[in-house]
Amino acid sequence: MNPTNASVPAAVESLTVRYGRATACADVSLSVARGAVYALLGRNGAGKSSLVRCLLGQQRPSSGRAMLFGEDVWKARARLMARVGVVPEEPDAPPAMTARQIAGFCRRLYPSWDQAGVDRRLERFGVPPGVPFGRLSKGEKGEVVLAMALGHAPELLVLDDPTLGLDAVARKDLYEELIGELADRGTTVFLTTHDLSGVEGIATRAGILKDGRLVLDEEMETLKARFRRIRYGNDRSGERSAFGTELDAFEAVRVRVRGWGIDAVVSNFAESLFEQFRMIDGVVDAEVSPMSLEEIFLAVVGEKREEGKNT
Amino acid sequence: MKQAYQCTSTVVQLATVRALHVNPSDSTPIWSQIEEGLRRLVASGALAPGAAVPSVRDLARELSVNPATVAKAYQRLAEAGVLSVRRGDGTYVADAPRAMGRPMRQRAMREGALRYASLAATLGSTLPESAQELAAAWRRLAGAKGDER
Amino acid sequence: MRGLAATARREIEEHRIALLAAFVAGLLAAGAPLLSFHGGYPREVREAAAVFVALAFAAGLSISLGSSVLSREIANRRIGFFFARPISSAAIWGGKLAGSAAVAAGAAALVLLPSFLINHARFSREIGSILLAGAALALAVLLPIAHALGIVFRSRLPRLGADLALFVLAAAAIALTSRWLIGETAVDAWRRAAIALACLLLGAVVAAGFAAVARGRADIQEAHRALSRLLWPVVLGAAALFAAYAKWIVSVGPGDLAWIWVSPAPRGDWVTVTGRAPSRAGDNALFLLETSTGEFVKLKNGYARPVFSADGRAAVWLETSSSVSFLSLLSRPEWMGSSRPVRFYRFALGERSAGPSPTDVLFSSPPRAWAISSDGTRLAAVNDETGGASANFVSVYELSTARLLAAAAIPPQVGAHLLFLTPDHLRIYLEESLGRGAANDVARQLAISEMDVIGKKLIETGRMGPFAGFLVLRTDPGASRAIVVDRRGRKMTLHDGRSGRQIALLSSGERRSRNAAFLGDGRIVQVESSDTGTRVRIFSSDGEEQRMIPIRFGPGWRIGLGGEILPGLIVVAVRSEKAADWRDSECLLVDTRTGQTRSIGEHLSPAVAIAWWGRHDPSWYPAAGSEATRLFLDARGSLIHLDASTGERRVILAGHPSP
Repeated sequence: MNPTNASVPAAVESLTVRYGRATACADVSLSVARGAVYALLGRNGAGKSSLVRCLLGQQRPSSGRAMLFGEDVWKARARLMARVGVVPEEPDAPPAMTARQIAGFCRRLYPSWDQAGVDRRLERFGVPPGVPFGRLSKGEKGEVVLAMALGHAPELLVLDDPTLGLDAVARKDLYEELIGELADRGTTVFLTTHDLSGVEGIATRAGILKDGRLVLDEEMETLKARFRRIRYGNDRSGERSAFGTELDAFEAVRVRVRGWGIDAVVSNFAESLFEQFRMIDGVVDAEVSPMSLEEIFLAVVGEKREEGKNT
Repeated sequence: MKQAYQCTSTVVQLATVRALHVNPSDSTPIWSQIEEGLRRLVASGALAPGAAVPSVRDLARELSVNPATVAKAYQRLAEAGVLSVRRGDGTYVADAPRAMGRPMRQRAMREGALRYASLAATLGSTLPESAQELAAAWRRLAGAKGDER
Repeated sequence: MRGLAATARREIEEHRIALLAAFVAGLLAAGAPLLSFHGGYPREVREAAAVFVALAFAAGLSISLGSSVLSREIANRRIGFFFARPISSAAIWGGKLAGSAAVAAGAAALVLLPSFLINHARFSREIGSILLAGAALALAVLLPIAHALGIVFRSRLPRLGADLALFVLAAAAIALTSRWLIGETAVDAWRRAAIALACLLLGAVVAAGFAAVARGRADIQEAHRALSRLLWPVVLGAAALFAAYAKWIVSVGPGDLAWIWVSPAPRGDWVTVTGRAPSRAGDNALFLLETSTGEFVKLKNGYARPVFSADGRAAVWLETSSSVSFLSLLSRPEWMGSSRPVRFYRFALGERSAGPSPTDVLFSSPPRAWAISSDGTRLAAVNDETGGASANFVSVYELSTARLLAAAAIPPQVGAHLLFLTPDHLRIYLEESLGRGAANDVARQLAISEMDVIGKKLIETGRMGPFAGFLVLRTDPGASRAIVVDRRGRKMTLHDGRSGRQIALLSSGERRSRNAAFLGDGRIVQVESSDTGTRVRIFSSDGEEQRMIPIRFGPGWRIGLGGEILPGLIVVAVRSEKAADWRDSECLLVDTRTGQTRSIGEHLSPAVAIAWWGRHDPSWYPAAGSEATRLFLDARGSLIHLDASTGERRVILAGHPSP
């Protein structure tokens, strides 16, 4: 164990996961700093769940390794799980166990278990403690699982698509709990999600998995800073629709040619570059607007279409 | 049945800061938006000197943003003298804007003016128009503050 | 430990219903005497019902819980609940299996409880041991196997086909090896190996189940792969080891035997050797050994020992002709009962390359008595072909073709002695019971008849007796004279071999040892020991005493009769009654003409003296000067060739001290 790595709550190194001939994760490396909130995004089947399973020591990677607190999690899973809270995609508590029984089961396993806190949380959520898990609603199940995950004040929280199937109110409640936990304890969070607008304000770093590869791994602030949507018209060729090399400096990710002009998503925006852009001959009515995380995601994982490019 | 646990003063605080519009999708960092928003509220008098501002935890939950972001904004405002942190007690609006040395104030004003001027120029505005807008905004802030009293 | 206890407790809670059902069933079982006819034994009926239901619960729960515990949760992706907690894989696996076992055991206990209490808190010992054995079997064997099968089947991998194929391969290998070992009557060796193999295989299944959970974790397919990767190499390795062990056991040779018993052929160099092989799991082994070259052939032990033809050129013996049933493995093959089908085997000792060959002479159960002609071509047997207690037929077969040459019905008898006078004439001595009582010691008489094989006629020629009990019969090679030793009647008499008329009383009274044989020239040599002393007596063929040679004086001695080393020179073996080993005798050369005796060795016994204890035709006595007369067993169990005249001594089989 490398002492400096001990401070990294979660990391994967060259992680590859294969199922027979299909590759779920290909040579993925990322690391989650202490106190960060890392959101891993990707389409269904992009490899997120496989990565999470490897990160929790529940699956052995085909090559590479997953580390928690500097240790290989496949080898030291039982010990490391004492410091981790897990909210899985599907609530997997035994259906016959009531919330009270689940808490009783967990209490014996963690020295730092705070039963009073769990009880308060369940009361706050309005979850009946004596009803078997299998008969709770989806939202209630998620709340129980979250309460159990937080019950031992973990240093790291791993959530796999925690808002899947939740209505707007339940989602907000979940985020509020999460934020409360962040504020009180500075917990490190690693989550995968499809609710991009919900995590946008909370995540500090984002990663995007596309076909098993990590195509983006960046701090939210810099991500927001360099992605923009630029709309303009190109007067040069007489048709407003064609475009040429004027966008090259911006490293356009996706360019759509519309009737009124060109709609481009660029990944290397800077104010100075934009000034120069506006002064390019033929560029008219240039507008720049910021992009939400969802829009950035769609641009990165969507297909690139470069129609009508004049080379 | 969810229990309403928030106490009355927090309700008042949160109602006030709801005027803070934070857009995570905006290109400006969230902490900056919070900072700017709070400045505006203090400047307009919506947050009176000595008034309590919500805790980092409560504001973060309300805005659905990372508490570290709120903490950063609060820290910057505290350093700038807009807010004062009373240990164990909470965070409050400073009683009076901290007296800033003239060179520092001038520099801060110059930076803000440059930003405003660039914005106006890129929009194609003229100097008289810009100055007009500036004066109008100033009046609006003062008016709001006057209404508060 | 904490994780294991918590997991086990959870597993038990999960199956509370089974415990409740068990208690209800236990109440019903306790009421069994009310529901059925109990014949005055309500407690026993209750006990039996409770134990039966308890075992059913133990077995049923072992199978159903075993096949679903862990494997169902892994397949349903619910196992993450445990893996996300600080519980080691071993604690998860161990806790869940322990919990399941506790439920099965607890259910059995709950079934028993009401009956136990009503029966005044007492259970009979036999029932108790059945219960314990059954419950232990269910938990220790069924549970791990069900667990492994659960993983294998829920993974839905095509690998299942390979698993099945390997299982069949291993099972076939083990079954064939078992069949081989038991066919070679190495039953003790098989039992030991089977126990070791069973433990090893069970351990492999348990370990493979653990590996599946520890390496497969949340992935059922990976769990199956991990299980197979551990299980099959161990199972196939164990099967291979078993086969190697069997090979080693079966490759025992006469040199490995301790406590040798030897029966020499009347002529020639061949002997039958049998004994226990302590280094090969102590099973009995049976060989035909050529003493001059040391070459041997291993035979399957279990039935009457091989009989040599008088010319020493053929050996004939019995082997079971059907495959051994599994249940019969619980007892020794020699006691497998007299109802096994048997086949005669023949070995032409001159044509060694051919080896032992089966004849087509079959019987549905071992014959009561049988004999072969002096040239080894014909077989006579007294057998029962209708399944009754006493034999009904005497038959004569051509061994090579299995053709029935002659057969005759005979009356019920308690013993039979057969001998071929010529290949076409068979002398039959039948012991007929004269009273009631155990067949081996009832008063009897001997009915003498002769069968003409060509004419297919059986004629009665005479009668001997009555005798008080068990008989020993000796005749000369032509059966013109017969000596009968009646132990109970305490006498030895000489008769005409054909008519049975008594010619002389050779000895009477209490004797410690008593034996006699016909020398090559027709004279009779008798050895006996009594309280007054130990002696050799020589009689003419008409029973006149010609010489009395004292060997020892006073009581406490036993004497055995060896072979005729040279015409007129015999060997006798004398030992104290207090000697620990019957082989530890002093051998004396006795000149029957002069009466002189000379010691030729100590701590020795002649093979002929020992071989009397096997069953032979009545005329068996090695020819004068044959190799058989020169074979001795020493006190250490070595087989030695000792030529008394030249003093040449050669060890044929080095002995092992008996265990």
